[in-house]
Amino acid sequence: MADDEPRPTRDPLIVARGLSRTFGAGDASRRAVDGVSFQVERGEVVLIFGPSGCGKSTLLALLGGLDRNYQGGLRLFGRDLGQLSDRELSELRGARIGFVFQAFHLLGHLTVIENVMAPALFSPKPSTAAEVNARALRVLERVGLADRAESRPQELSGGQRQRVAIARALLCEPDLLLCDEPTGNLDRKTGEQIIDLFAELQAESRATMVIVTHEDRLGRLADRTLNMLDGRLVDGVESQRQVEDA
Amino acid sequence: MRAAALARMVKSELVRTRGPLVTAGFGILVGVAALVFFLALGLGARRVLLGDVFPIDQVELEPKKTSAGLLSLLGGSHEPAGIDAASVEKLRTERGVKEVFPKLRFRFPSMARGGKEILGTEIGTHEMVGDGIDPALVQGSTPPLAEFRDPLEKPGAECSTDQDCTGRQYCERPSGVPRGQCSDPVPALVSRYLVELFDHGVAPAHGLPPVAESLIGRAQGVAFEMTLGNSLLGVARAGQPRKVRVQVIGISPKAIDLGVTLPIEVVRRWNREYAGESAATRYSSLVVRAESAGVTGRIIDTGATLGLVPHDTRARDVSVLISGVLALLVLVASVILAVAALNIAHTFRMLVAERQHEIGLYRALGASSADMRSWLLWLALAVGSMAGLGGAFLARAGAVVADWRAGKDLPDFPFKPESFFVFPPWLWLLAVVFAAAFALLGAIGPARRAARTDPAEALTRDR
Repeated sequence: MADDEPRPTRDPLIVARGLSRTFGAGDASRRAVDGVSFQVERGEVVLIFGPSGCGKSTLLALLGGLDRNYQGGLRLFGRDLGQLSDRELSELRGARIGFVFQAFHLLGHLTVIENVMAPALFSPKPSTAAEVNARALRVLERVGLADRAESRPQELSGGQRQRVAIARALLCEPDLLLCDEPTGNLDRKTGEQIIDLFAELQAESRATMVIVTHEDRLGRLADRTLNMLDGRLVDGVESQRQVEDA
Repeated sequence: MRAAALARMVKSELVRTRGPLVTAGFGILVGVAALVFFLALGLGARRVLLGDVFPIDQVELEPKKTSAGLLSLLGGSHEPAGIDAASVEKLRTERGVKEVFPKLRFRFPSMARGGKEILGTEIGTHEMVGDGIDPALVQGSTPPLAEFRDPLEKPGAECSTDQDCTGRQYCERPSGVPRGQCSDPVPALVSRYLVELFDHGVAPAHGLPPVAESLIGRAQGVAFEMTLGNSLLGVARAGQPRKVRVQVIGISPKAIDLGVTLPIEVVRRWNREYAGESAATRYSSLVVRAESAGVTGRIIDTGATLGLVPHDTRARDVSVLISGVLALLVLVASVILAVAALNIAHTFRMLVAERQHEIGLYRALGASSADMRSWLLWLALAVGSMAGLGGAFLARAGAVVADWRAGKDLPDFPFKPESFFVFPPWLWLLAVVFAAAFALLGAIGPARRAARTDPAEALTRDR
């Protein structure tokens, strides 16, 4: 068995086989993800480490079902993503996947608590407004921002905004948290605080996390690190050095 | 997405984007206002012209005029052609026919004099024409002042002269019969056309007051004395001239244009007395009421097979004219709406372009592409519905102003209605549905674009 092929396990959450994503066509085409194979077990924290532009954000979008124009195989929660309809995939995303983005993507016209409650709009699970509100307050309290529930995102610092984004991702108690450069827009100190928060959350919930980053400081969170370079996963000390050099 | 969540999103977007949406909806509002205004005006014109002046859902059939006239010239029978009972029955069983009401014209000379109660002086005519109709034809439309029926259905005491009767009754004693029966005055209906003609033609020429509909009602009916079997032009071939009392109880669109309309059994009796049995049993025309205006053509065709022709084709001509003008005005309103739909399309395109990040985020949070499409389509539906309702209210307000100006500035003319507009409930519904449909039409493209938004690309694009 080749090193980059997934090892058979009892219950993997993510199984990617020869996953590729090509942009453009003909001579102008570019492979952002190139034949990637790996798997992620339940409760595992996997760090995908690589330089800017190596395809790791594209890979994360594929894992979250945001981008379906891929080649190869991708199974999530035991289901083949290629076989799911748009509605089924959306329901899966709404119910079981949380996203944290580098740019936070908070909605400026909503208050903090309304931002946190936004995923409930699309949740297939029926909940009353009061239940959603209570749940949102709980997660805001967990990230230390209950007192800013009625503030607007513009009134918050970068670190606070990322906490709100994390709270939003946690609202529906997802099985899988996909984080794209979660500390990329934060200063070192604030970034450390967010990393601490991730560590605490993981210890509490044992949620599966896939974090893509080019910052090695997130390494302390990871059970496993996958190195990515030019759309491919590379292994070994040599490869690690190549990644860091790049 | 659940309905409640969708409603929350639409409401939130309505508040958030109210400026551009109001601007976009304004075009729809104006278009719908124009459409509703024109339609209401058209319906109003139809009501007056095709309801009161030329009813379209009924047709009056009569024998072809040439046959009787030609026979007369050739020295044939002086009996005018009539319609027999078999023809009446055939038409009654025709598909699409609701009711058939035979009419009997006066087949005897007559004259009339009266009207002192409301005019202050007696007026009269030396040639009185009239007809008899089935009371069922005017059921529910005559004023409650008096019943429109043969007064001999409830005959009074036996009599030889009017002195034997009490109150307003007179002695109804046919020619050659020694004793008759006391009878209430025969109820009569007149046409609005006749009243208008009198009020605007005859009355001013003779310095008489006008007899408007309300005046007739207040005066408990205009009573007059009618002489049967005699007129300026001559006497009847049979029977003896005699006088009867008649009371105009109201104005009806079913009444003959120039003359009086009486219960058919009264006319049948008088025709028999002065013109023989045939004049009592062969009808002069038939009013055929159709189930809908659309089947009157077929009824006319059936009538033609029986040798009957429409008494008046103006109804159809006017209907075609109104429909044509209305179609033109609706076309103008539709053009306004189409432009408004383009405006909606532009606004929603801008909205979708501005909301790319947001749509990408919603997709990441669990929204399907159908959810995004529904969001925008329901938003358009809400904008369109509100604009439609606003447009309908604007049209209603415009109609009130137009009626007020017309009442104030336009001179009085025959059949001048109190309102030139009709706003049935379906018109309000149509306004909302039309506006919503055009708004949806404009939003379909942008909504599809929103649904096609690539979330991964939208979330990574620089803002």
